[in-house]
Parts: sequence; structure tokens; C-alpha cells
Amino acid sequence: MIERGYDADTARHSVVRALLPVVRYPAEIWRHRYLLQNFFRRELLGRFRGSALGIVWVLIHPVFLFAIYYFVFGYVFGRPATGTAPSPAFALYLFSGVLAFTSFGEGLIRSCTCVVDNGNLVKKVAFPSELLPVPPILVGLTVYLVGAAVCLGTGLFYGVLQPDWTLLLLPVVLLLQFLMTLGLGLFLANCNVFARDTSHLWGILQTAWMFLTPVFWYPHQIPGEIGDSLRAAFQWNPAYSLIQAHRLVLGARDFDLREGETAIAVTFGSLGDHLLACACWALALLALGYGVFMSRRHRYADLV
Amino acid sequence: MNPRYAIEVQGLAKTYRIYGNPWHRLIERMPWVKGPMHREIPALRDISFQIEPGQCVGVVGRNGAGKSTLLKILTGTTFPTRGRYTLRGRVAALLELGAGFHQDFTGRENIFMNAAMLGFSRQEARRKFDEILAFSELGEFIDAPIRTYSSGMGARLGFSVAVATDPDVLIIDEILAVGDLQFQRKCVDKIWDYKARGKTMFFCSHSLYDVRQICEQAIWLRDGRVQMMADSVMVTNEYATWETGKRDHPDQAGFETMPAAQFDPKNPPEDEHHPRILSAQLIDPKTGQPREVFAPGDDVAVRLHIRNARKPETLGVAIGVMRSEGTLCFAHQSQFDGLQFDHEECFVTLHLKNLCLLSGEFNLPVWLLDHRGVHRFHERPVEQKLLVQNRTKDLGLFLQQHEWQVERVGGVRGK
Repeated sequence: MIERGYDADTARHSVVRALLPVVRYPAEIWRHRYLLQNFFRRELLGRFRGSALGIVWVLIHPVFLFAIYYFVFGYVFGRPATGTAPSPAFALYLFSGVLAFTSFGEGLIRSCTCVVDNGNLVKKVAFPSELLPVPPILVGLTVYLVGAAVCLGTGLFYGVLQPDWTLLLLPVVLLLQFLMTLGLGLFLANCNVFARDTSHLWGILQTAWMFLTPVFWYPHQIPGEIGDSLRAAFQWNPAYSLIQAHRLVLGARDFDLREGETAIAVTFGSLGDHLLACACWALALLALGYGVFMSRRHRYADLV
Repeated sequence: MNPRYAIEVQGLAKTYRIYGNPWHRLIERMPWVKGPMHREIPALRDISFQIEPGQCVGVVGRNGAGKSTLLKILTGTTFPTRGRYTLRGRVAALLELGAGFHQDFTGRENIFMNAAMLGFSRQEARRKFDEILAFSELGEFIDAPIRTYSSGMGARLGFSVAVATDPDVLIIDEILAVGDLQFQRKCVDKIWDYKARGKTMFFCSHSLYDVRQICEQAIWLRDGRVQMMADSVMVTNEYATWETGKRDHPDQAGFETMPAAQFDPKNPPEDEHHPRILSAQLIDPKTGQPREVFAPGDDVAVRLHIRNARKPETLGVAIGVMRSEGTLCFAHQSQFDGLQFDHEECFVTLHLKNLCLLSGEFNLPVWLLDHRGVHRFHERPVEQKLLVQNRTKDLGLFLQQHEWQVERVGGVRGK
């Protein structure tokens, strides 16, 4: 006999208590896979239904961003002194970075508003709202996969990317990105329920975050002592490890950036370190996000 | 908690906090802020009751008494501030039908989506699909986007998916008004089918008539408290009495205790074969001719011409007598008096002997009902108004049988 109930007198709404069931979260996602699959389809198709280009739009956004950055950072701020055009290596460095960060950021922005956007589900149907950020994040990852294929193809053509067996670790990187986005997304979604200002604020913060992450610049470009301390600080940026892991898996290899006489060595670090860092971030963010979300979930229906 | 019960509620309370500004919620928690920055609105104060499996319980009460909050808590969409509840068995809620529908997707896609939200696996949903489609009667519209549907079609689809779950406990909010008349009939049948199979039902309605017909027990909610929980006839009567005393608009009084009108009687169902009242006449029983003006003490009759060209079906009728300002003076339902009929065409006459109404103008609404007295096939007023004219000087609404008596006390005056 199925039994369902709620006891307001014994229910404790502390974050720590709500955090413990996080171990059951993957099972919960798996149990609702059929539902999530439907939501995923709805999210993916619903966004483009009625538009002429349809699914093509998912790629147009990162490609367009790439084109702008390529022009601005390759030509305007680039090396006009040397008179050389930006190299394919730079183009692919930029493209892979933009792809990874937009899929990460897209997932975050979408999950930030997911509870409020699905107000009628939260309010009218007894719906497991902790699942709401999953479909938009999966859509972000799907878009990334399409972009990564394009990136890989071009990289192989120009001989810039040299993928090897580590390409098989792409699912691992995607899983870690999924968990990181989910954790932070749950936290943001919770905040957005209580104050709708969150989604606007987050839009700004996320732009700042992208500029502080080596998406279109090399960490090694920063000269002097300040460069060393900044590079040390970057290790603490979750997006830094994530993006470098993405690049390494796609086959980016250390190269020398020639600028006239001097050569700057661009290194991507070790994949193992980045994956470890991402895993730590994923666990920490998921615990934080899930704990906060679940401890406040009982109040959402009255607020959206 | 006792596992004997299907629904168990103990000390349930729900208070809504209203903040002027979302940031007040945060600011209020700061240590230097003194006093709360919100207003509290209690929706439920202290609700306790138990419902045994197989029981059908109705909830009545005014708007704002906490009915929908209670239903929302039991379905799990919102949570109580205090107290606890337990539901045992598979629960389905028939409120907010089709709330999860996505407007741009077809009915077919939405069925699978909705089924998934109700906890179906993919195989289950596939298996039930034909049943859902057949019940919803949407036909080829199933492959059109929901946004092209009429509101009735959407509700039909929602109802069809919800009942396909075959729940043990059914939570219903004013469900008998889904879609067109024929579909309403199917809903009533479905609900009756649940009842017959011993499922538990928790039913919230404004129609006291429905509560009385469908439920054995009823709960009267008043200002977030259980005012009364007992036999449904007793509760609805108590509530109706209280409500009539409270009501600001007397023209509404009494209506809710009768079957609610579900469509404009001027627009009878398009289907010619639908059971319907062809005519309703106020007649003089002696001559058989229509007549409007009567006096107290006269015999009055109401003659109905009824046709059911559809499949044979047991029917009943109800006739009410309502003063022009809306007071229901009395109403009779044929099933209560043991009369049902299943003819294709017939005349049914209600004889009111020795009319005891006093002067006034009366309307006589007539309802054609199914054999359980729940579904209304047709409603129309009697063509004539009943005009009662006093020949005596008696005052009031009706003539009570009476006699006077005087008993002298003490001796004769003046002697």
C-alpha cells in the first residue's frame, strides 16, 4: 500500500538535513527518466517550434558569439603590430571556450528561472520540482555536442586539434558539467523563487564570470608577478577547470604563441587535475544547491 | 497514525504570509529588525478528520472557508504550516485538469507528457493510450496542438488522463461540469463506477444537491475549521440553514440545494435523441387544461411530456416551486417517492393536492434526471407561472393547517 503524507510538526527545514537525501537524487532522476525525456523533448522542440530554421538556431548563437569575439579579440585587440592574421589555433581556442561556457551558462540561466517558469506545474500538480532544472541543462549539453563535433572537424582539418583516447572521457566531462550546473542551478532557482531579481542579477554576474574565465584570452598572456598570483587565483574558478578539461578532451595540445620575437607557451595543464577539480566543485555545488532547494521546496507553491 | 483509514488528517493548519515586498522576507530575519514585516492570513486553522476506505466524503462551505487549500494540501501541491496528514493508496486529483498541458504540443504528445507526470511508465502510458483517447472522444483532434482546442476539449483530455490512473483515492473539485452535457454524463458514470468499486472519494462542491446524492458523509468547513462532520444529509441541511440566514442576496437562497442549472434552458441540447422535456404545463387536474391562477385549497397538477429517443434508460424528474424572489418553497424528486420510468415517450404528472401556498407568483423549474438523480439531462421552467390568489385574509407564505382554541381561566367577570 502506497502511503503519502506530510507532518509539519516533525518536518525540519534545515539545509543540512535536506542535504542528506542527495544520495538518492540520481536514483530519483533515473526513476523519472521517462518524464524527463518528455520534458527534454518539449524543451528542445518547444523552443524552436514555429521557427523556420528550427533546431539550427541552437548552433547559431555560439557561432555568432564566436564570430564577434574572433573579430574583436583576433583583429582589433590582436597583433596588428606584427601584421599577422589570428592563427587557426587561436580561433579554435576561442571557439571551444565559447561553446563550453555558453552551454554551461545557458543551463544556469535556464535553471535559474525553471521553478518560476513552470509555476503552474509547481502550483497545481504535485510535481517533483527538483527535477525541473534537469531538462534545460540537458538541452545545453546537447547543443554543446553538436558544436563540439563542428569544432573537432575544423580542428582536425587545420591540424590544430590532436584528439586521442582521452576523447572517450568527453562523457565524464559532460557528466561533471551536468552536476556542477545542476547544483548551482538549484541554488539559483531557489533564490529566484524568493526574489525575482536573482535572474536579472545573475545575467550580469554570468557575463562578468565569462570575462574572468580564459575563454578568449590566454592565462599566460598576463605578464609579471601579478600574472603569477592571478594564475594561482584562476585555479579556484570552477569554470576554468571545466573549460580547460573540455579543450583537452577535444584534443587541444600545448603550443607556442609567437608574437614577433618572443614566444609565449600556452599550456592547458593536466586533464587529471582539471577533472579532479571539477569533481570536487560538482560535489560541493550539488550538495549546496540540493540542500538549499529541498529545505525550501515546501514553500514554492505559495510563492510562484 | 492508524493504518485503518484511507485519509487521515490531524490538526492541519495553513497560514499564508503576505509580504509587501519580496525583500522584506529577508530583511525580517535580520537580528536588528524588530517585529514581523508580514501579515498572516490563516486559511486553515485546525482540521482533523478520518476517512475510511470506500467512503465518499463531500466538503461544503463558503468561498474562502479553506476548501481549496485543504484539497491542495491533500494532493501535495502545497504544504501545511502545522499538523499532519496521511493518504493510503494510489491518489489521483481531479482538480486543475490539464494544468500541465503544453499549448504548442498535440493532444497525443500531451497525453504521454501528462501520463508521465502522473507516474506512468512508458509502457503503461502506451497501454492506456487507446483507452484515454476513446474516453476523451477527441478523435482526430488528438494530433492537433492543444492551443487549437476549446476549453471543454482540454478539460476532457485532462479528465481522461487523470481517471486512467485507476486510483484508490480520488480527490475531486467540482468535476461534474466538464465539457458538454454528454461528456458530463460520462464523468458522472465514471465517478459512480469508482464508488461502486469501493474506492475512496473526497469531493468538494458548491452543489449541496450533488454532495447529498453522491456522498454518505460530509464535512462543513467554516473559517478554516471543521464546523461539522456527519451524515451528508444532516450536514447539508445544517449548512443550508446557516447559509440562508447569512445570505445577503435572498434571490439566491435555496438554489444550491437543488440540481444546479448546467446550461441555458432556452438552448436545449442539439441532439434530438437526447432525453428531454418536450413540454411542461401547469394544468387544472379536473379539466386537464392549462391554467395559471389558483387559490389556496385548489388541486394543482404539473404535466410533463418527456421523450427519450436514445437507448432505453431509467429516468426521473424533479419539480421545484420557487417564489418570484427566489425562495424555494418545496421541491419533489420522483426517485425520492419511488417513481422511475424508462418509456420512449410519456407524460408524467405531479399532483399537488389541496394547495397550501398563499398569494404570490411562483416559478416552477423542472429537471430531467438520470436514475441516480445526479446527472441532469434537461432543465426548463414550466411554461406558466403559478399565480396564487387568496380568498381569505391569511398572511404569509403558506397556509398551515390550524385551529384556534380558548380556555377560560377563573370566574365570570363582573359577578
